[in-house]
Amino acid sequence: MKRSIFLNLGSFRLLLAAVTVASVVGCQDPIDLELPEGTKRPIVNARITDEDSVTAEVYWTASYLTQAPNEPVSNAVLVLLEDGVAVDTLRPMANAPGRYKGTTIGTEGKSYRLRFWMPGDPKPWVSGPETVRRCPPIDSIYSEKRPREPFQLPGRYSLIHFTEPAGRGDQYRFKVWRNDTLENLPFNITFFDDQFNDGRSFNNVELPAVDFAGPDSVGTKYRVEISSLSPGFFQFLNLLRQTTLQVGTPFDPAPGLVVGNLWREENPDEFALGYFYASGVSRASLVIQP
Amino acid sequence: MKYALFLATFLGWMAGVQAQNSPGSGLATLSGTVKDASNGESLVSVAVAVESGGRKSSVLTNTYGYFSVTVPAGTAKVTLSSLGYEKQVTQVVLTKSTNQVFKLKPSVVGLDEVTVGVERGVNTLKTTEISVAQISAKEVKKLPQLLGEADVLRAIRLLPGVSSVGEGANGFNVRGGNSDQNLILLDEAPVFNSSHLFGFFSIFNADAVRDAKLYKGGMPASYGGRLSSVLDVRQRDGNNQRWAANGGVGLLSSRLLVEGPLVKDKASVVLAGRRSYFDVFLPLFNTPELDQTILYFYDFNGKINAQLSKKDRVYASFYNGRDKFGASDLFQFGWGNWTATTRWNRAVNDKMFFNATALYSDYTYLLGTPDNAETKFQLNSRIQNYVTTAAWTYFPSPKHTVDFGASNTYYVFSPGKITGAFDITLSQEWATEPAAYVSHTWKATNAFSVTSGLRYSAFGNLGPRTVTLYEPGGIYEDTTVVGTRSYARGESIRWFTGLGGLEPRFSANYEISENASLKASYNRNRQYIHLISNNTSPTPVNVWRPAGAYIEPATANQVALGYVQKLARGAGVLTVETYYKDLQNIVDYKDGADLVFKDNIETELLSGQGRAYGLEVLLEKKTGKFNGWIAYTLSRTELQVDGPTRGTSVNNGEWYLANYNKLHDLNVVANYAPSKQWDLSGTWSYQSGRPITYPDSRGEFEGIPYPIYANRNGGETPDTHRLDLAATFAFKGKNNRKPTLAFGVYNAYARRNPYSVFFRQDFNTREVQAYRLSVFGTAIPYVTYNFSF
Repeated sequence: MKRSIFLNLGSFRLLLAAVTVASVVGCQDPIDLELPEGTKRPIVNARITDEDSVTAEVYWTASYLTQAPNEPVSNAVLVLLEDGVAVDTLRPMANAPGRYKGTTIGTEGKSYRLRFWMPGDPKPWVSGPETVRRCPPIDSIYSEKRPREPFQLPGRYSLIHFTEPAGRGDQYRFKVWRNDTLENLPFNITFFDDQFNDGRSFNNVELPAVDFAGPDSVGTKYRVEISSLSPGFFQFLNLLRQTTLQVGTPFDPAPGLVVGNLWREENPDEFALGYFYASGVSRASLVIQP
Repeated sequence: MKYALFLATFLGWMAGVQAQNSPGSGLATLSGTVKDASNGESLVSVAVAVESGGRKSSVLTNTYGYFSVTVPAGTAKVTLSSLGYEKQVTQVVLTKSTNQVFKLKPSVVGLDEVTVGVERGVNTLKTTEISVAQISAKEVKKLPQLLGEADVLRAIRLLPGVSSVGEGANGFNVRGGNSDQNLILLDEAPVFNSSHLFGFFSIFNADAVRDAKLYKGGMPASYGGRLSSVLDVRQRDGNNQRWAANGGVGLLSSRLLVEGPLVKDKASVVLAGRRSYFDVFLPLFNTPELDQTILYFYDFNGKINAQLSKKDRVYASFYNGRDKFGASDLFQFGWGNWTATTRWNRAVNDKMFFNATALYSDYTYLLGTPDNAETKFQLNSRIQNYVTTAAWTYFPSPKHTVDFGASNTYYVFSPGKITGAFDITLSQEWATEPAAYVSHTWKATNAFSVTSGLRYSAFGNLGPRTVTLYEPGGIYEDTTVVGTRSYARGESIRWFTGLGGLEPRFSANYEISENASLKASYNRNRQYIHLISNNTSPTPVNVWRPAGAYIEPATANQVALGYVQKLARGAGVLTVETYYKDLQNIVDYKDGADLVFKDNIETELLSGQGRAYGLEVLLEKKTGKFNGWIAYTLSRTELQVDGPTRGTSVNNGEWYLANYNKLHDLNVVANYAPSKQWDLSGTWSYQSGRPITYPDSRGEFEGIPYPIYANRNGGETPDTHRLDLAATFAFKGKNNRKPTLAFGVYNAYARRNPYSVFFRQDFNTREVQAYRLSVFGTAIPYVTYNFSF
């Protein structure tokens, strides 16, 4: 059983679309196109977890066709609120334009918000509330050797066991670092909820273990992180993945506007981009052995 | 108030009907059935003109080939004409009411022979029908084909007012309506997915189909349940004269039909089947993965009919089709329809025709792993319909025809059930949709006739079901859930009754001259079930969900005006129509909506409104060696979803163009028969680009750049055009038993028509390149050998 079935039924639709389009006589041709220039908006991606202090990245939106990176904003002001009380002011990180870091570490069950000001703009922006939710520990991490099979190359695959806590309504994100580099393409945006596995173990007994990588050679290092998500952040990731992966074919949804939980405090219809989220996290690491 | 006024007017008309139905008038009724002389099948929409005592009355046969005309008693001249049949003129002595069977001989297309028939527009010159198109299987088979499959839906898309989002798209769009707003009927049974292979072929086997009639507006009151159109496809009855078979062998699919009399002239049977075999050729690619790929479809049609008495006839028909797709040991995917229809026709007397129908329709899809997979997983989804209908047609006098009836549709929605490694079932939903209608056609003068009808429908969403409860305010999100409420079996969750269920229908015809008429119509339609799909084109895994606690029924109001002109010297018929349609409570979707296996689907839905308007021109010439049609549509369809918050709005609450909006749509269809052996055909299609959403800036999330789509459908794909060619060569043989070789090419000049434009970004260099996706990137030839014996 492939993890995609458990993690997201939408993967089936992707597979379906890809195979179908590829199987007919379709083709894709590069074309030249001019695009309209949209409104310049702030982007704030910020996070707080129960293991890490609050961090943020602040940018401006860029022209879609430019290769230049989004312009970082170094002199923004960002304030963290815990249960409605300002508890931390994030400071710019040295040698990392547009990046900020605070000292507050999240606490499970507490609610956090971010208030921020862009340079030269006295009107504050604010995030929606985010609560640090429970996150199950990773019970084990290991690799196993698999033979060649249809749609499976031979080699060593890496897996984890964990148990989803009882009680519906949990959502999770899955991040993987391979040889200390985050696997960070849109296809790597992996998230799931407990609709199909509430209170059950991914331990090859109740449910198959989650195979997160492979095939790899001996000595490959992996670090894995599971983090709990709010429903809003789950929806944001879903839209982000749709927008970056599912475009163009007859089976894709209409592209949507990837808007997070940030808006002008005095006018919620005026939105900024990005997301401020709070998570519980669990981590494990592995070096593939002979 | 307006409904009371309408009701009073309607009752007044009914009183008029009764007043003119008094005895002692010296009238006689000629009723009967018109059949194909070669195989005994009933013929639909045959123009029957009866002249007697200086009075001439004309009618069209109904869907069962039945007609009734009342004229002064005496010797009547009866003229019957229909496309593809020789015109027949006979004398009938009408000293009293008479029931008679008429048989029409099919016309033979040849070099020195002129096809006798009538264009679609001619029949409607004298009737109140407007915005209706009928196409026979014979016409469909003449058109160029994709991979050798004659396709009813592809032919329908060549008519004005009908389009699709692109080549290979599933379903079709009629006058600005979404594809789920079309009621597609096969022998009266609703079909929930009309396509094979994700939209490349329709489920209708042209061999088994008699004809298809599309109502784009001016819908008769007997039809309901969808907003935008009715496509009424009828299967053939079968040859009750002799046993026969025909079929075809193509490169990628083959088909066979067998038919014959169970009792000559009384009862017949027809069985037809098709299967594609794309998968047979996959090993040729020499790729191990492809060797195990499953990719095919099949379908079966069957029908039995029997004349039980002079007045009674019964029919039983079925359809079963399925697509299968997958990799044998990784995943499997299948979907298909089942329909079964039983009907009883009775000529109650010479002025009353009765039809009772009971039918079952079932659409299922399955996706998951094979049974022998290491960890089994299967997802099943299903929608079932049980429909009972009783319908009467009453012909009280030459000037009046009254249709009335009632029906009930019982729905079972099973949106999802997972079995295997874990078992989860989405809540089933049950619903019932009772409806009743009455419609009155009144030939007020020789030149003016009007059809006024009223349909009333209600809808009940029933338990058992546990319904999620939300905070007040009408915002349905996971964060606004406050609890649940359970309903017992049969308990009403929500009923939609009241005046909102009234669906008035009106159409009128005014003959300006022998060769020209003006038409007008208004219809209101209500739709209680929705296809939950946020894809550009629906997929087989989309599910239907009913109106209920949080989903409202959608309504449409449409007005249309038309002009029909029969051109001089057999040049054809010109039809011009314009329409305006208003849509309310149509379903739309939140950005990023996750619709797969979702129980409380209302958290992903939005409700909006729409408006569509356009002009349609159809110039058709259906007679002679050179025939065909030119169809042009100028149209615009806009939608608006303006909810209370940004998250419940689309495009910031502003109007935006629908995905399927196409400003210009031109189709040219030409057939030429240079000899008795050859039949040549070509179609050329041109469409404006369809709306598409372009990104206007770029965001970034944790190192992943992403496009920002701020203006829904603000851009447009490039225009498309395509030429298809076909030729049919008939080998020597007896009439109707000549084998033929059909060959042609789809997309003859290999144009790469854009289905969409999308962007691909290199996530390392951030370089963005725009791409044009073409579903068909080359010319696609086909050849099919057809036989009959």
